Order: sequence, then C-alpha cells, then structure tokens
Amino acid sequence: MIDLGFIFFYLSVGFYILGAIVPLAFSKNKSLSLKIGSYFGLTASAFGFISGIFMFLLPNPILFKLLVIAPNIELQFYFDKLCAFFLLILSAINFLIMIYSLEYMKSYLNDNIAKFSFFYNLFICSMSILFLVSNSITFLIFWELMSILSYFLVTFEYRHQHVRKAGFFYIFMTHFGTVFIISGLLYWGTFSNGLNFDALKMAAMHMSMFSKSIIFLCFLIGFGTKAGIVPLHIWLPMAHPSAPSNVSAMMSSVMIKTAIYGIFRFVIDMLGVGPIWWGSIILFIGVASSLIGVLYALMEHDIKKLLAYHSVENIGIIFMGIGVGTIFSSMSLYTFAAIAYCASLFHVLNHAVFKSLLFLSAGSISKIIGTRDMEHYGGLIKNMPKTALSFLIGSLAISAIPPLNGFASEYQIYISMLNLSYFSHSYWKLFAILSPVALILTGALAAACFVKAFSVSFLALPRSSEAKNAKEPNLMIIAPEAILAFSCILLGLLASNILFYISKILVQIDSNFNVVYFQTTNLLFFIIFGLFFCLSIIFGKIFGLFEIRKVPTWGCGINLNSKMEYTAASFSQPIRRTYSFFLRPNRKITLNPAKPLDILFSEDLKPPFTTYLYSPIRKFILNFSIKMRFLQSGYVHFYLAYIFITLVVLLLWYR
Amino acid sequence: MVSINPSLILVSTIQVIIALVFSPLVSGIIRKIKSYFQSRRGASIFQPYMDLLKFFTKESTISENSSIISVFAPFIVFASYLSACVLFPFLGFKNGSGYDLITFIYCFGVARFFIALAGMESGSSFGGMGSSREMMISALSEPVLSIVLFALSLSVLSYNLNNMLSSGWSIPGILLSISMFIIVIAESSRLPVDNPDTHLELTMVHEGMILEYSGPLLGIFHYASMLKQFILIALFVSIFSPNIENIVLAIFIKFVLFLLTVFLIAFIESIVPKMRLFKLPGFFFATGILGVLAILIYFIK
Repeated sequence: MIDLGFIFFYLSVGFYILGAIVPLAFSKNKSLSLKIGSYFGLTASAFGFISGIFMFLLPNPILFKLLVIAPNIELQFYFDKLCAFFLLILSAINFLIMIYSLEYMKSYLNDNIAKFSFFYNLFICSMSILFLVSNSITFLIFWELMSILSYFLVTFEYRHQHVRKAGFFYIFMTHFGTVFIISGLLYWGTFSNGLNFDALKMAAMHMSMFSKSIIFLCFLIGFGTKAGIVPLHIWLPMAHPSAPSNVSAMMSSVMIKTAIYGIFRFVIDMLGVGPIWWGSIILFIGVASSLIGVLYALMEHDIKKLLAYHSVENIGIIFMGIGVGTIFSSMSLYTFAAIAYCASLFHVLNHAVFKSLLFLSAGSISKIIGTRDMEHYGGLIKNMPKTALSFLIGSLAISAIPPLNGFASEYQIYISMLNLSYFSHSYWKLFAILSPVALILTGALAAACFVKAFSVSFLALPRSSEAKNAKEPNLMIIAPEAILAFSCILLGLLASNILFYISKILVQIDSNFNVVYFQTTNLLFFIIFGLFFCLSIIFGKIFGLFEIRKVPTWGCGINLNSKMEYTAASFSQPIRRTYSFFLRPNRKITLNPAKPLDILFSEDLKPPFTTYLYSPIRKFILNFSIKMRFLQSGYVHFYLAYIFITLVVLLLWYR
Repeated sequence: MVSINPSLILVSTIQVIIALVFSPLVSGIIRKIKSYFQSRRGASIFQPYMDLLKFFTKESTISENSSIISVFAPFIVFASYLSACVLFPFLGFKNGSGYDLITFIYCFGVARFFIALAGMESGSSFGGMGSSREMMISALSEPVLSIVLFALSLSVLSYNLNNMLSSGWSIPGILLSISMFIIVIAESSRLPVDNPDTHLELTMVHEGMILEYSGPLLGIFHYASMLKQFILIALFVSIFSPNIENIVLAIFIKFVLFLLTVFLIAFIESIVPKMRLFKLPGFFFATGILGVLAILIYFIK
C-alpha cells in the first residue's frame, strides 16, 4: 500500500510539472495551452487525491528519505494523516477549480495563458510538496516558492495599477511572516542536532519553556501573517480581489490553510504542550479576528473583498478552536483538547468547501456583469437560478445555519468553549464564557452579511442592464459549484463520521488525544426540520396555498424602479451606526441650495489598522532609510569595504 | 447520534400540539389586556384564531419581483420554530438527550435568515428596511440571549436544556431573568423594540419584512411569530420557575407564571413608548451587562 501512495504522489507532482511546462511550448495557441495546462492539472490533482487516500489509510507514519541536497538539508517526505488531510483538501478543491478554469479562463484569452498555467500548476505543486516535507530548510524553500508563485498569480492582470499595488503589498506581508518563521526554525535548530523535523521534535523535549515560548511567538506571527489574523490581515482584502477568481478561491480556501497546517505541525505536534497563556493568546486572536473580519465584511460591497474579509473571520474561528484546544492540553484535559482541535480541522475542511464555492460563483457573476460591485447586481435569481441556488447554499453554510457543514464545525467549537468555561478556574471562567458569546455575535453578523450579499445580488429588481440580461454560465462553471454545494450539505449531515476520521489524525499526533464520541446535532436537526417542512408543504398543497397571484409591488404611488430598492450600503447602515465607535464612518452630505434635488452623499470608513499601525511604521521606515542614505554611496569599493568589515567583525566575534 | 425513543416522540408531539393550539390564545390574551389598559372593551381572546382562519380563506398574492424564495420562506420559518418547539422540553419531562442549547438558539437563526431574505424580495424599501433592522437587532439580542443561557449553563455545568430547567431559581438568576425578559420582548417583536400593531415606516421592523405578503402566506408568518412568542415565554418560564418534584404542582406553577409573564408583557407594552432605533444598542448593552454581572456573582460563589 505504501508504494502505491508514493507512486501516485510522484505521478501527481510529475503531472503538475508537465502542466506547468508543456503549455509554454504552445503559448502561441492560447486556448490549446489553457486546455493542456488544465487537463494536466486535473490529472495531477486526481492522482494527488488518490495518494492522499492511501496515505490517510496508512496505520503508521512513514519517513521516506529522497536525497541529501547539502549537509543537514535533506529532501525527505513524512507521510502521516495530518499531511494526508491537507493534501486531500488541496487536491479535491483543485480538481474542481481546474474544471472551472477550463471555462472561466477563456475570458483571459488576451493575456498570456501559458504563463498562468505555468505559475498556477507550480503553485499547487509546491503546496502539495510543502505538506509532506519534513526538514526545516526544504519546508522554507517550498514555503517561499508557494508565496512567490502566488505573487505572480495575484499580479496576473498586472496592467492595472491597483493589482500591482496589491501584489507588492502581498509579497511584502508574506515575507514579513517568513522572517519570523525562519527565525523561529533556526533558533529551534540551535538546540538540536540537525534540522529534520524528528530531530527538532526530540530537541523540544529538553528545551526550556522560555525558548519554547519565543519559538511559539515567532510561529504565531509568522503563520498568522499567512493565515490573515488581525492585525496582520490587511493583505487579504487587497490580494484576493485582484487575482482571477479561481486563484482567489484557491488562495482563500487552501493557501491560507497552510498556515494552519504549520501551526498544527510545528506547535501542536512538535513543540508540544506549553503554558496556558499560549492557548489564551490564540483564543484571543481568534475572537478578535472573527469579530473584526465580519464587521468589515459587512461594510463591503465589492463581493470579492467581502469574501476576503470572511476569510479573516473564518480563520479567526479556526484559531478559536486551536486556542481552546491548546488551553485544554495545558490543563492536561486531552480529550477536550482533541475535540477542539478536531473542530478546527473540520472547520478548515468546511471553510475550504464553502469559501471556494462562494468565490467561484462570485467570480462567474462578476465576469458576466463586468463588475465586482454588488450595487450593480440584483434580480439575478431569475436568469441564473442554478448559480443562485449554489450561492445560497454557500451563504447558509458560511453563516452557520444548521444542518449545513459550517454549523457542524462551529457547533463543536461552541461545545469546546462551553466545556472550557466549566473546567477553567477563577477569573478565566468569565473570559471562557464570553468567547462563545463572541462567536454567537460573529454568527449573527455573518448571517446579516450574507442576507445582504445574497439579497442584493440575486433578489428583487436588476440594478443594471447587464444584470437584467445576465445568462446562466455553462455546465463547466455550474458543475463544480453544484458539487461543492452538495458537499456542503453532505459534510453537514455526515459530521459525526467525518469528525471520527479527523480524530484519528490527532491520535497519530499524540495518543492522549483520544476522542471516543462526538456529539453532533446536524442530523437530528435535519430530520426534525425536514419533517416539519415536508408536513407544512403537504398541508400547503392540500389547502391550495401555492395558488399565488403575482402583482406589482406598491411603490407609494409611483412605478417601482431599482433606484428605490435597498442597496448594500443602506442595508448595512444600522450596523455601521451601531459599531461606529470602531468603524469610524465618515459621512459627507453635500447640499446644493440652487438645485434642491442634487444631493450628494458619500461615506467611507477610517481603516484603523492602516491609519494607526501601518502608516506610522511605514513613515518610520522611510524616514530611517533617508537617514541611512549616506551609507549607500554607489561606489563598489565602499560595498567591498562593508563586506570586509563585516567579515572581520564576525571572525572576531566567533574567535 | 439520533436515537429514536417512543416516549420522546410522544412528548415532542404533545409539545408541538400544545404550542400550535395555544400560541394564538397567548396573542389574544395580550391584546385583551392591552385593550383593558387603553380603556377599550377589545376583541375576544379568541380573535387571533378568527384572524388566522380568515387569512387562509383569502387569495394569496406576492410581488411580481419575487422568486421562489418568497413562496418557501413562510414554510421554512414555520418549520424552524416548530423544530425549536421540539428541541426544548418546556413541559418538563426530563428524559431526552437531544435538547441542545446551541441548536435551539440557531433554530431562530434559520428563521431569521429566510424571513430577512423574503423581506428583500419585493424590491420596495419597506421590506429592505425591515430586513436590515431585523438583522441589526438580532446582532444585538442574540449575544445577550446567549449570555443569559450560557451563564445558566455555567451554573449547572451542562449545555443540555434538559438540565437547565429551573436553573434560574437562584440569586444571580434574578439578574438573568431581567435580561431574559427583555430579550423575550425584543425577540417577539414587541414594544419598546418593535411595534407589532403599526405599519408606519419609521417604526416597523418585523411587519416591514412581511408587508408584501397577503392571504395564507401572511397567515403562516403571523402564526409563526405567535409560535415564536409562545416558545420564548415558555423558555423564560421553565428556566426561571422553581424546581418542584410534584409534576402536577410544577405544571400548575408554571401555568401561573406563564400567565403572569403574559400579563407583564402586555403591561409593559401599555406603558412604554417605542424606543428610537439607535437607542437600542445601549439598551441591549445594559441588558448584557446584567448577564455579565450574574456570571460574576456565580464566580464569587
């Protein structure tokens, strides 16, 4: 069995590389190179999925040494259930996205498609290898490859200035995070002999809590930047909308999860149990991210930015689960810890499914209408019923409406947090009981946000002529969305079975993490609700409640038009005003006394993180570099002198 | 896990039937008490039944802008409130394991999601206004409701509603009962949060969302909101009633408390005016603080 898993994995890597290189040869014939790239990507992800299944079924983890690149830098693969879980998510989502891309990328035929296939396939390839490597240096290499390749995908439409700006911001932030990961790993390496993961894990047993905590904080900032926790989230709403929708679906549903993989691998698996404040800090970050993410999402009417902010929210929810689990393992309550960890891994899977569904359908809508601004949509449900239905299911799932999958994982997180409040001591009880309240608030705001997103784009009157004449996209676009929507329902109903499989991942990490039984209510709710719904429908049929006459809406005496509808901005206005102490809306109403009908209204939000955190830092760096300018003379011999001085200092230092 | 237990099914069926039969009566009683305070004779307490019957004989019309969601929304809302009825043992037969607190809270979330979608369907601003305000109020009232319920679950160390019955009969429970009572008022769309009797665009929230409905579909919505009110009052009563072994006595006391709560709701509705929409955040914040205070008292004990 082991050989088969390996062979399929190599095949998948090989096909990704083929899918990257072969289209370059056909770069003149754009539609052909798109097809070649996508079909190779499809095959590769199918192989990746099969190898993931084989790996998941392996009873024990297997280490496979491939080659030694340099002393201490070995390319070696470590197959365990955690890798397999992430590889499975990656391959399954990529398979569907590839089908979608075949049709979706046709609108980019004027651009360099071969370049797209090259970067995209290599990006997926680097990610799938990243999940398997077990050496710090090779991990960093593939981490860096993943970041740089995705940079080229974000800046695919580099002709627009805002895309270049977003790309620069993205590459800056991701390197900021990488610095911390490198420092964490190298500092850890000083305690061990070798940089392989097993050596590091051995070393972690003898390290002092202080150095462990330093490494933990490095990883938290490093991986947190990639994941998009508050306040390091601001690259997400810039980078995701700039990329083509299939790329943003990939980035949002899988790429930011590599950070979650990193935390599970390095912190939970290798670093081991820490003091209680580790978990508390993760929990706090999770609560802050989810609340701030959803508040900003509500204020957005660019549909892809809205979804990007929801990634911040969901990463926050995943962090809540990890945080609660870490607190529990610090308290040596391993079964509860395992439930919380399972919940966050389950939410990783669920978020991957519904977020890619939402991004894919948002992408197809914004291509058809020609804008990402929701205020130009409206009434799409009449012309695009299938897209509307899949978007509705995605919205219900992300708002944690039972019995869909979003509720299934959030439910486990609720239970974990409630259990935390029962078992924690003294004043922690209060914080522990307020965290599920924060999650309830997040859920209510997320529901508000998706009522807004769905109703403004799909319901009532079309707000533009493009929306009025919109046509349903063809099967290649609909089919992946339909499969994802169906999986949202299925993952919700089969929650207890899936959680059972996920719990095996944790048992492999540490045999203490043993969960016997998961309480799930999705199926129960589905049966009860379904029964009542069917009964009421039957009742309605018998009494003829479905004989409905359609009449025009009363528009207070004038004909109703789309300008009289509630817009996305007006929908979120009460909530904007309620949270104005945080959101700082800046309203401007300009009246023209000569023309009383010319009233200009504008409102924007003061972004607190950019204003109070990033701008001062940027100013400081710029001022500092101006002061240090005298070092940069531009003559080569000066630079040689710098190198020489550095060398002498280092030699003296390590005499 | 779903375990089918015959006695559980029997209890659930009885609960659903009681809720279906008596929820319009509760509305009727509230209206009667209100008319007493307004020095009117008022309609009979059985008037809501007549209203519902009349709704079901009328023709059904909906807006031509609306889609299939408008047609199914009333049924989904109704079914989710009925599910809430099953998921919560208000009769006090303590023999179930599926009475889960979080699923119960989310039943209301399902209903709210679809009623808000239905409000946005017609394309008129009234519906949008109602939906938008409803979502804002829910984002305020749901956290407060959850503070109250989580505080109670902390006191019994269980998130099973079964174990939480009568858990509010304690000193911090008095604080919690005040905030819970306010939530009951807010969630059943009553004064001072929302006004069930008006169709004035400045004041309506719940009525705004269902403004474009008529006939049977409107009847289902009205029935559903009566059902919701019934469930909330029953939840309030069964959590904050004393724990008594004798079942007959316990049910009698609950019945008296239920009538008392109904009277109190009608009384408060008669003496307070509608609150301005943007005064509500402060109002709910104060309510939430009561809940937090109660948790602190548990913590001191």
